[in-house]
Amino acid sequence: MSKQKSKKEYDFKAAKELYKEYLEIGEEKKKITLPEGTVKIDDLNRREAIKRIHDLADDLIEKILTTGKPSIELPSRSSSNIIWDEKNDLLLLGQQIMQKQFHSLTSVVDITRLIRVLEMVYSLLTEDIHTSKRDIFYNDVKLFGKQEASDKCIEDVATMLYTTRNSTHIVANPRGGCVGRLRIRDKNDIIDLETLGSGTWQISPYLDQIEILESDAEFILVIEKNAVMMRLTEDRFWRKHPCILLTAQGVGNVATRMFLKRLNKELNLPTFTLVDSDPYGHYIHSVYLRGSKRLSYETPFLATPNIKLLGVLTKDLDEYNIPKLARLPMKPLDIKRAKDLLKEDFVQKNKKWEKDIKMALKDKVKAEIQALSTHGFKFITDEYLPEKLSTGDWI
Amino acid sequence: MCFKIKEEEDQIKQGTIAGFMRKRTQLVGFEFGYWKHTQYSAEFLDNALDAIEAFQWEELKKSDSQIKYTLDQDANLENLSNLWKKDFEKKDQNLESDIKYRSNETINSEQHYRALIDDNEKVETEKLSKKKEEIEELEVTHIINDLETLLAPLNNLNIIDKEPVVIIRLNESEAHSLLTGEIDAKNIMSYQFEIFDNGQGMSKIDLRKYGKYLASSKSSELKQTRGSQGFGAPSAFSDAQNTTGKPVIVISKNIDHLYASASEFFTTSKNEKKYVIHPTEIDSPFLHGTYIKLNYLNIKYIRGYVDTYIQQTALMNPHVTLIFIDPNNEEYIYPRKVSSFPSQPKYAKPHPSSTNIGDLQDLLAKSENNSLISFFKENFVRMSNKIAKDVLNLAENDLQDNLNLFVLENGYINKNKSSDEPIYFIRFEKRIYGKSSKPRDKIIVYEIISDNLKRIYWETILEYNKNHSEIEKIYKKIKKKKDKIQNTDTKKEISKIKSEIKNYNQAIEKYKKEKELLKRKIESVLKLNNIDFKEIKNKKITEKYSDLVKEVKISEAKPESLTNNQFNSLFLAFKSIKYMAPPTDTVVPVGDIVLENTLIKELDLRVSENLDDFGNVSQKLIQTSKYLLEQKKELIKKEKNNNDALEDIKINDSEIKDFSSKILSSFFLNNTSFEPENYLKNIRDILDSNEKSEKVLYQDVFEYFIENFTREDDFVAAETRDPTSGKGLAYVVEAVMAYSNKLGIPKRSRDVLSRFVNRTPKLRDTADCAITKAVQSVNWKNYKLELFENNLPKGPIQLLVNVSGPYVHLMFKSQSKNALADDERLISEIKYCLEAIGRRLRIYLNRRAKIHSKEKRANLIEKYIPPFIESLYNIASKGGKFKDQISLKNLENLMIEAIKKPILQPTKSLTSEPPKEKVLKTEKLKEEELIETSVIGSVISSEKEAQEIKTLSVPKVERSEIKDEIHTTFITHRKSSYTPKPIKKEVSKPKPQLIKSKQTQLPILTTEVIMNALDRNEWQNMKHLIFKLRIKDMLDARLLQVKLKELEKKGSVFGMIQKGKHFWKLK
Repeated sequence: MSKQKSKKEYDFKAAKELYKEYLEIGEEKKKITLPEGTVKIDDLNRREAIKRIHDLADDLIEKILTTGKPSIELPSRSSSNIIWDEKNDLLLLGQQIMQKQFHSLTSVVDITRLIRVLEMVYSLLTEDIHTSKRDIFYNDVKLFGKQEASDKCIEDVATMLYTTRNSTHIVANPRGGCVGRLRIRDKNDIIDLETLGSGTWQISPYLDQIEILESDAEFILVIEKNAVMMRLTEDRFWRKHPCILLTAQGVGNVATRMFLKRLNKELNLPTFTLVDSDPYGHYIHSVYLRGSKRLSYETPFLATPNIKLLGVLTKDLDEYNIPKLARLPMKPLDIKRAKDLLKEDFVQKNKKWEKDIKMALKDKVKAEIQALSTHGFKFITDEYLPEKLSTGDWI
Repeated sequence: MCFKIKEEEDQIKQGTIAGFMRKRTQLVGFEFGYWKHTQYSAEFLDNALDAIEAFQWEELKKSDSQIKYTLDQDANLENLSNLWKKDFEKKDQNLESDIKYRSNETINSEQHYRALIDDNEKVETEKLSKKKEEIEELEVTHIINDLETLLAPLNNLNIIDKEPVVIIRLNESEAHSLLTGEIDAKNIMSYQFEIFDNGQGMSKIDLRKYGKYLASSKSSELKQTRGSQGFGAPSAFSDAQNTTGKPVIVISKNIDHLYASASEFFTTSKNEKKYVIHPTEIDSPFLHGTYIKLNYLNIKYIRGYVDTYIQQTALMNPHVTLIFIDPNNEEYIYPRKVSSFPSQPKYAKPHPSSTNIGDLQDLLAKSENNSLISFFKENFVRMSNKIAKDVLNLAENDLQDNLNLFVLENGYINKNKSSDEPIYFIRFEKRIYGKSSKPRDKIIVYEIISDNLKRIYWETILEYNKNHSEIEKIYKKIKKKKDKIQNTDTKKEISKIKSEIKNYNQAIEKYKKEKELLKRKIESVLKLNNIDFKEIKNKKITEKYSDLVKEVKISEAKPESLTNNQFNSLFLAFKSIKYMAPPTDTVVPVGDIVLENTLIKELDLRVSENLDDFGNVSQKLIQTSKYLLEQKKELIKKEKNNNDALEDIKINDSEIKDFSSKILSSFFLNNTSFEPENYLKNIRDILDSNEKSEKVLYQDVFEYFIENFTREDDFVAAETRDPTSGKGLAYVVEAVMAYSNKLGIPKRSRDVLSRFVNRTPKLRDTADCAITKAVQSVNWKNYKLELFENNLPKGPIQLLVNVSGPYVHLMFKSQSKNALADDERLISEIKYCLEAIGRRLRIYLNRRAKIHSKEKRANLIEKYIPPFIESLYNIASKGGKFKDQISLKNLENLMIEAIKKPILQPTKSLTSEPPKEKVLKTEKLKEEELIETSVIGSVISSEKEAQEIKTLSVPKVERSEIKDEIHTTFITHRKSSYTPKPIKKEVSKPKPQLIKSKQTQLPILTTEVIMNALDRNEWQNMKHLIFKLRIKDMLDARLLQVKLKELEKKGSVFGMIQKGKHFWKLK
């Protein structure tokens, strides 16, 4: 069967139609209007951010001078305050406000940490440098105790200032890679992502310094696994089918997602994900699609609502005759994840997706992308992807 | 031959209890070991305390007793400590002379003292007797000297006759090798045990018996006393002699004798005393009391036994001063802590339910009553005329069945077993018989011949028998059911069976009534058919029936001459009736207030009960304003003499504020660690910062005050249950618990719980005792306490449980009286008592936890202020509107201050009633409150802030008046007869001279009078002088004695001691 298919010429008809569709409605979609009852987050420049920090500090000092009891208000990031904006297909932050009081035993530590992070952010901004989350932690290990605590504070500080994390000059560790038909400018250097040899361009966290120059790609493909990405790079997949390949090695980090968002926004290309056929893979897709709950305040700047789940779908396992040997049984954690996904609004609204997850749950089966390699290492580049893109077999 | 046979027959020999107990002193706790030290102290201390109490009770009965203990002031014992130290060196001398003495007494042989006793005559040869007299003389002086040195400190303080006091001294010395040779245990030392109490003292007659087995003042009646049978002291004497071979010295004097009686003796296995020194009259340094000195061998004294015993005794007997001097010459002084004695427990007549068949038999045999009714009424408690009659009726009914003779209204009829037996009717008729010519009652027996009557009789009897057997059957059923109860576990089933038994009992009653009716039936039939009788003149039958009639009529029998049948029926009836529970006035608990206060003093706890003192805030507010208003009115009255202006006077808020805050802040002036000015400021701050209504304002102030005041409080709670009874005797359970971090958590569970029975500490056999089991049965985790492995509570606590009452004498597990036997009622009674305390403990611990968490919060928050401020400052100092206006220090101070301000909570309903338990508590604490308020008064009046008092707007009122006013108006006036804490001010009063103040009648004993009475040439002793001065009162005699000794010390008279008596003459 595979041999028959390999002789086929793929026209990428479906992908091209999607591209045309985007071209027509694209302009409208670019402008996101947030629904009422959600918090507005701004991407700020340095001076604006510094001003907001000063405002906040002034507020605190005023409280100390009047009552001696400072407190900070910030939007709650608890799950009850996360709203799914159906129209824009985004997860957004509601308007619940959380108060961190200094004179309460439960929040005195939190508020002290917050103010410490704020101080560090302030100095980062004034000196116009960036630092990583890890650096923040090591700046005051005694106060934070664990990096989880400082990470949480970093996110809190961003919400506190009603801005994106990027605006606080604290960046995630670079993890994602990008390659394909794209040319960008990083500060003064122009980089052609086609000419990187066997490597990929590491997606820089300093996205504000990056400018997208030009691209003749027809679609963007986000891949969960680096190994698959390497396979495709080796095959020079984008030569045959003009595209941009991206990977974040797992769940997309802020930089990758933000870069993807920009690519998608500026180039207006159909975007697909290729993930493992398991609930975690589906979750990774959902993060690109709607943003993570943890960073829901930044969703407008991170999510790519028109991304499509190309594969590997549960039904693909049968359709492409993946042998039983390559399929794995679901573990309890997988089952739980799948069930959690099914509870989400955006999954329930997408019948195809829901069906696919239910199917996986029914058979209690999962598989990795590499399971496709049972039909040969080139099967994925030569047959699977082209066929799917041509038939429009995505979610 | 004949003699021999006799000897063979006499195999069983009559021993004596003394002979038996002598060899088995371990039965009462005198085995070698650390406990033996305790046992000595325990036995004699118990007796001493009983004697002291007996004395006081006796004196209190007299309306004008001048010699009772004066208890209204603190025992002033601060100076005692150093006084005994001086005679530390004397110890060795004593030993030396003792050894000398012993060798004189020819105790070189192994059976040193037995030889002395058994071979009486041999020892008392003439030679020796002469020598002996000298020795006796020497010995008596010796004894007196010892006693006087022991009592010197008390005498110097002039309290020996005023303060109830017990002194125990234990001296240690190397044991004579001769004595220790037989004993395997190592480290054997010789001990000299001395005890003195200024209790009742013994009369000469009593003194003769003292020391004999089973000679006791307490054995005859069951009473709430410590001792009961007269085993303790004799056993102690036996052990002392058994181990050292030295005699026992006893000096005792009661109030009726001029001289004390001193004797030195051995006790014998024949339960007699063998005197070394016959009772000799000596001059005593005390008015009444007893002194005992003995020697015994034991393994070396260590701490933790005797001293613990005495400490615990002091806890339960705070009305007595205890002094213990241990072998290391260390003194333990436990001053009296209360100002009243416990009331005297009444003697309890036996309750029918506690009387067993033997007791009843004994009582009947001893009885001199003419009728059983009077016998019952006299010998038992809860036995009314009606109940006694009921008992007799029951017994009579039983007898009728047993003896087959029915009692009818006008005669008797026999109950036949078969129809062919003759039916006899017996009655008393007035006949002339014998030598008298007047008609007298005579028993006449008739036989019934009429067939008709016979038939009716027999029918009735058959029915009667049927009823009777029916009753028997039911009894069997009941017994079965009762057996079943023991095998069932669930309460439901038990109650079901119990209700069945109840039904059976009702059935029995029914049958019994039926029986009675049948009897009446026979009666009525006989009345109608009077003619069909035939008089029987057979003497045998007549006599038989006259005997039977006598036996059946138990109500007319004499108690001392009951027949077996009668007694059995009587006992059955006696036991089958339900009696009221015994009266509970036979028990005297220590009392919860006394227990609490004792523990507070003993453990030096910090307990302020101000929570209750302050009570309802709004009421206080009204009182305060009333008080201020009155003050103002008076002031104006004085100044203007104008009554019209009085109507317009008003008290404004600031005046109330000032007044209240001053009072509150004054509470802490006694506490040096506290800064009252800060406190005052804080209170004012609260008052000023709060512009709400006055009530809320005061609520805040009081809450703040209370929180601050009670923060470091320890916990103490005592509970005395209502008396209950078991085995026909009453008892009462009480317990007290202290919780304080000062105490530390004991490592051993036995250090947590102290058991007391009739106020006597029980240190041994802890695990065996019902008290321990009861404590274990409480779920202490409910009350926030951890547990030891054996389920005793664990924590910084001290728990004392006391069970008092005559009941306990029946509950001891062994003669050594160390453990109480299990009893369901007793255990649950203790459990309820402890649970009541536990509930209070839980409240306290919760409250404390709340305060602590608040403090912890403040501390934790404070810790985060510097980093917080620093970060904030780093940002704000570089920009923003406060750029140049802030300083690090200033911000920090602002925040720290904010923490310390109390968080004002919504006001609780001011009219809400406090919980009931609290109310009770408040009642108890009234007295304390009064004391505290007097402190307020004194503080306000005496402190330097005299000016501030003027701001009370009562400038012209005397300070003392303010104090009184506060007493009467500011705090509600309450009365209480009880004074838990002696008021300090009274203590500081000049000490009243007992003797002078009490010398109200003639003759007035001045030095002059005494000097006149004394002669220049003739030696005179007390007796002479008393006669000369016509002294009739024992107190005056005592005064004379004291005066003479004073004069002797001054050197104005000569003194001489001869045979223990003082003689004086002028210089």
